[in-house]
Amino acid sequence: MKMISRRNVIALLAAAGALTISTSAFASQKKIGMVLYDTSIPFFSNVITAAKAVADKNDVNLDVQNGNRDLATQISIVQQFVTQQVDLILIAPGDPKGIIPAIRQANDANIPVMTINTKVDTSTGANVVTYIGVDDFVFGQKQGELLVKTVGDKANIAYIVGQLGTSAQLDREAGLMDTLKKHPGIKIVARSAADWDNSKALAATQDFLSRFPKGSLDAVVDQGPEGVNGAKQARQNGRDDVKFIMGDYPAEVRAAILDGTVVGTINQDPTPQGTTAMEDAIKWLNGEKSAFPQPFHYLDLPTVTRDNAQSMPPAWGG
Amino acid sequence: MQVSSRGRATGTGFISWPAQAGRSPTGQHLGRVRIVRCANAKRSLTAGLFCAGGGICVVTDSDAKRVKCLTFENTLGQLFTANGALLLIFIGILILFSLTIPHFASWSNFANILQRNSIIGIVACGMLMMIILGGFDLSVGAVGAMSSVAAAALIVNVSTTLGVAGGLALGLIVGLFNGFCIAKIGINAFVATLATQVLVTGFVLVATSAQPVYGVPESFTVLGLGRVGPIPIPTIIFAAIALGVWAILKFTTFGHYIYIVGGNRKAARLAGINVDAVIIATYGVGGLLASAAGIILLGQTSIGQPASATDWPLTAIAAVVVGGVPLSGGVGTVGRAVLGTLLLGVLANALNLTGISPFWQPAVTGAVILAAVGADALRRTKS
Repeated sequence: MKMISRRNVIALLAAAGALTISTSAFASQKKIGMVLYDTSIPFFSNVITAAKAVADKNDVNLDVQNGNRDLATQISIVQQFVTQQVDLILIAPGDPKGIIPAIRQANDANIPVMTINTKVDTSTGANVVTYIGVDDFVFGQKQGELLVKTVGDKANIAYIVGQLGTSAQLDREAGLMDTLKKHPGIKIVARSAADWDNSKALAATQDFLSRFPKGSLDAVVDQGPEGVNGAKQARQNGRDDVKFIMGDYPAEVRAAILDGTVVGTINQDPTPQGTTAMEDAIKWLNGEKSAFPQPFHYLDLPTVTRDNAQSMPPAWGG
Repeated sequence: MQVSSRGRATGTGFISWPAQAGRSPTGQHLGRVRIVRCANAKRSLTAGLFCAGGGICVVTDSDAKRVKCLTFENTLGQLFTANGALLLIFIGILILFSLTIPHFASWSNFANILQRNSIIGIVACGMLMMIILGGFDLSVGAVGAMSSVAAAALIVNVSTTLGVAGGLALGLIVGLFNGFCIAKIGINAFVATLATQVLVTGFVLVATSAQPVYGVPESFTVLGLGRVGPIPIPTIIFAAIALGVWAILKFTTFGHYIYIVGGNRKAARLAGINVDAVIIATYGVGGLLASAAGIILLGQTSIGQPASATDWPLTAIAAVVVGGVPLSGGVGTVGRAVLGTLLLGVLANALNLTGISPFWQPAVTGAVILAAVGADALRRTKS
């Protein structure tokens, strides 16, 4: 028994040695570690597709890991990247503060960190090269502006929010409220959490329509694209007194905007996020350290309505 | 032997299946045994090797000649202790909400409640059978999502008929696989179905790269959103499935085997029941119903979504348990699963209509589940 375990140890050591040699032999190929909040949702799988395309074109080794919607998982993946001594780490964290200790560990190991999609709180000294993505606060503000344009200065609104406590839910809501501050005549009379889920958003919309009979509700604003089926049903039941505004721009929202069921949406497109993040990362690794905006690289956040939906392909699906 | 002290002998009518040779787990012959059930489900037998829910018992062939059916005295008190109690509570809640919540008592609102709870109700019917069997299935959500994605892909690329059939077949296969792992390999139901859930989710993500499947024709949404007259189509499917499960549990040998295996697996084996086959078949039905629900979900959204239905397993178990079916197995009726589903559905609707903050809604739902199950547990320990 003892003999075997000793032999195993020797074999392991030999393998480790071989591994070290082989990594140094390919040292010319840069390795980037990427950890995303949840790779199983369409938004992030589009970020991955775009990032991989850029990585392949530039002969960079991109290692994508699933954060599983769990902060502890995200932290341990970052630590694993630090142990593996990757050249750069890209993070889309679930929480802006909780990931900070892990980013500090990367800083201590002199590994540059960039964040995608969700900003982190750098006020406590963690070092982040740049943030690539959009501002969910601005997303909410723009939704608010579209709402004001649609319903005017005096209206009753029902609001469908995403999963409570996620940064998109909190920031988009804060942004919307910021715009509505200037329009005190617009009142949010009902609020429902649909957890970014189609069935729940449909149920929430149906209940809004039951609760507010014809003429007493002017619009439903949804933080995500999930409310489209609710909008369709409202239209089938003759409730064209209620206008619908969605968030994000997948194929089904585009179709609903084109046929008039939905007034408009804000397009947070995942593809440019993946592409830009990788391009910035590669520039940084090639020494072009001031070739992109820092500390925030904000991407476009276009408002889509019937006027421009025809010429704008959907962000995903289709 | 299971005879209620409050029972009173009133007759001998019972249904009996042909005698079969009973063997002990070690293979010894026990002589001939029969499975018998009182013609009136409210009655229970005076003698038996072992009895399960619904007055179904295993008796030896010689006992079968002298067993009698007992019946409970039908008092007002009994109405509160049996199936009737939950129905009374449900009707009470409906009346209370109708009087206090504006816009609650309208057919269009009721139709909405029925339409959106039919999917989880179908899952709960399958879950009920597995809970009576003494198990449960944590993979129903993954199976639902898989079927909805697979059906969407087949509908877009081949045909609607093949899409529906393919989705159902996949669900059946995963269900049978669950049953196989539990019965033949001997993995605990929690672990086996948790593993399948993760496995199936993984396969779906690999196959789709987490992208929804688009392109299902608009006409397919009739299945999820359509109505026949005032009644939502999903609700008609739900009602048909609930009736079917009721008939299986009440009238078929397979249904009675489920009760007996769930009540006491060893006794079931003694009675000569092929326990493994019953377990595999029951999980097969559970998987089939989960995939049916997944296809109706596709009819609701017209998008095959890999990340959907994650909350089905616990919601369906909660619905069955709120209906008063204990997780210990051996007892339960489909009416309870249906009522449990509707109770949770009506509550969620009422919370939305009253405009209670979304922060509070989960807390209220949790309190109601505790109260319903707690009341049931108290009743059980007292009687």
